[in-house]
Amino acid sequence: MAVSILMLTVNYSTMAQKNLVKNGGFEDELKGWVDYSAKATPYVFSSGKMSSALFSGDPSKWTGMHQIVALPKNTQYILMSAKIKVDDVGAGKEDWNGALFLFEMLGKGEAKIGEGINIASATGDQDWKPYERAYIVPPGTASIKLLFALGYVSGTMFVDDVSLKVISQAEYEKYL
Amino acid sequence: MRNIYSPMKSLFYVALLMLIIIGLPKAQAQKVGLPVIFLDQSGFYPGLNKSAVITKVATGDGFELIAIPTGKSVYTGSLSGWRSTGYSGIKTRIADFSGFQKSGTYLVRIPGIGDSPVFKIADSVHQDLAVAGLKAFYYQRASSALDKDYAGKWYRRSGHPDTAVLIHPSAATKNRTAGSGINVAEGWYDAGDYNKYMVNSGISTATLLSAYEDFPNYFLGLKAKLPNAKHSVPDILTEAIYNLRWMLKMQDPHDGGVYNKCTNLGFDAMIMPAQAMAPRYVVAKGTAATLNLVAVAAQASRILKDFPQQYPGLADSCRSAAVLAWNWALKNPNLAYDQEQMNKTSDLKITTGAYGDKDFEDEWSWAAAELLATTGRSQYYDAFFARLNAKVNLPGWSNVGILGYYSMIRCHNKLPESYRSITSILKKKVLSIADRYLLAGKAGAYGSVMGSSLSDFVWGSNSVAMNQAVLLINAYLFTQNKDYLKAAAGNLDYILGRNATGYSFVTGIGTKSPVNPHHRISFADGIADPIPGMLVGGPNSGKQDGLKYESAEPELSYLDNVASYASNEIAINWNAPLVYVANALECLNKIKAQIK
Repeated sequence: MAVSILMLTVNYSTMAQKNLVKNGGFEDELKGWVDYSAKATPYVFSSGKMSSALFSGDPSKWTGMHQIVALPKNTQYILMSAKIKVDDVGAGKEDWNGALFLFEMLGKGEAKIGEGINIASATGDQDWKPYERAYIVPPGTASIKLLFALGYVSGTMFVDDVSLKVISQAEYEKYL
Repeated sequence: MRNIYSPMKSLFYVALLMLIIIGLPKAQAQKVGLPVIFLDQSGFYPGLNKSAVITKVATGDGFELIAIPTGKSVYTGSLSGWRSTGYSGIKTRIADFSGFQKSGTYLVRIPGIGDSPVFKIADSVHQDLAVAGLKAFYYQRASSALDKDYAGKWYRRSGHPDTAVLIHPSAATKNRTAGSGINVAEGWYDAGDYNKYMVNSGISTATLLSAYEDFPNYFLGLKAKLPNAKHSVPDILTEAIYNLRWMLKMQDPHDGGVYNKCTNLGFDAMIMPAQAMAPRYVVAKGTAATLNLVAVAAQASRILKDFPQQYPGLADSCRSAAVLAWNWALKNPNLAYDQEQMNKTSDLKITTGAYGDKDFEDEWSWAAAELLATTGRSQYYDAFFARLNAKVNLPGWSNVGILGYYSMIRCHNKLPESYRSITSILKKKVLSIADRYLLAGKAGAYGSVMGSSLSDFVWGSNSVAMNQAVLLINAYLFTQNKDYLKAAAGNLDYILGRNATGYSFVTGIGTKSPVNPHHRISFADGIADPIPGMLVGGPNSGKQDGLKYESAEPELSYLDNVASYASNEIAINWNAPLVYVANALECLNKIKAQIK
């Protein structure tokens, strides 16, 4: 019994620290990511030797990339984070238009649950800046879709150090 | 009826204004001049903060506390520097005499300004208010005569029996066809009007039930002199159950759905209930109404379990009703009440208040929390947990999420062990608001949380003050940090006179209180004094009634005028937090060690 508890604790501890995003630093270029115009670049990065760059010259379009991250069963609290740098990103017609970091919750069969939730929206010029969101995972959520996009704006967006970690309730409460 | 402006309503009030101008024979209570020093006209607890506010220039920087009747100066102090509201041209100075704690009767004297109203420093200083606020619900009873033995000079004949209310076409089903009658008797009139609305009843009844749950022993001793009170049942429960029974009748037992309201087609004239003969309808079922019943019935169920002899079977009936309503809501998760749209499809057009909420996530959260606290079942935990990311705000009829937080925190020890940990999240979310209030209150021009922001002065602003105080008291209860309690008391001071108007906003309480509330009974009963214990809406920068106000400043946007439905109406959802706050302070003051 004591061994089981110890193993559970170790497993939880390991799980709690693990970044569930595959290739979140883009060191393997865009492996693990579904992209609709992203490019891995060695010229601009926050850490390591690479980042992902999104460019758009057409403010009528949505360009970006995403990764669906499977959650361990019964996950209750997660921390999502990324570093973003933007160059000459214009303001769109809507308030929410910009260089976006958002996520969606997916249920069984990757069915979308509710609406996408914005973590960051940046415009203009901005050096590398970390963004993060601690979130309570609603029951029935099997995976999280992390999205980065230039949402109906022109400009360049760089993304690096993308992470999604399972955290404890105590860690979650630090973000309240 | 609040926040629910309509062209029909506008026409009605133009007619009302004309009636008043040509001199409808309403007796007037004796007029008292407005004070020049603003303070809580009821008084102060010895161990809590005490202060007065001025907005005019004094001849010096000092003030005195004068004992009555001796006229002796018993305390001197210095006025604060000028404070600005940041949203108006009004500047204030504060006379703080918190350091003086001797019980007695006093006034504040400020050279160049004058004397304040006479007030008390005493234990139980808000006892009269605490009782009157609760008794005001009794005076709002529909379908009931008010006997002289209980109502005093405000006794009246019964009105709105509501035993054969018609099914409106929007509410028709196979089992209950349009035009057939159902019994939806009892309940409280919502406000200045005579209609009964589920969503406003929900928050009002829940706030009274929560007051009891937070202070059960205190309420055993609080007597408001109500008829048919059962042995060992606190009066606050007797009164809440009067409305609860109506809410239960608003549920269609065939499917569990709940009608949005029991209403006339249009507002009644300014007549007494017994004179109001217009046909009444129950109108369309809806998600908000149904989830309100879930929450209130679930909360009532766990309370009434302690009163099986007095109310045999009622706790079980409430629990069953809550579960039945929950299941209906699961099948109808987003059914809004859209009165405008409904009126396009029916000849029986409804022009009374809509209470047209369209976002039900907060109702789902509240309903799930109450069912979880009552049953401990996992399905309600999951539904509550799924909505835990949502931001919570000060409660109002359309924003009820935090009511579930209060209940979950209160019922922490009753929850299954595995569910208890989330209450620490709820506490942090409540405290994030409470701490923001403390900061704002310290810098506020009136020495209170209320009035520290322009956004406070909405329709029913006085309920903002009271709901802020309820939140602060909840924060105090689970932290024991007295700063929260003092801030809550400061908001009650605001309500009772420490505000820019100089009014104590509760009828019959204080030296200068409203005598012409927008309240049909008080207008039509021929009695000079209005029904006591009613909290009027208060300053409202929106001024939606179109009347001429004496000042453009937000905190002075108040008229003691029966036509001022935007600033001088009364409502059950405004009185309920007043009852909570006044009684909580009375209770906590009795436990002196907690607030010294």
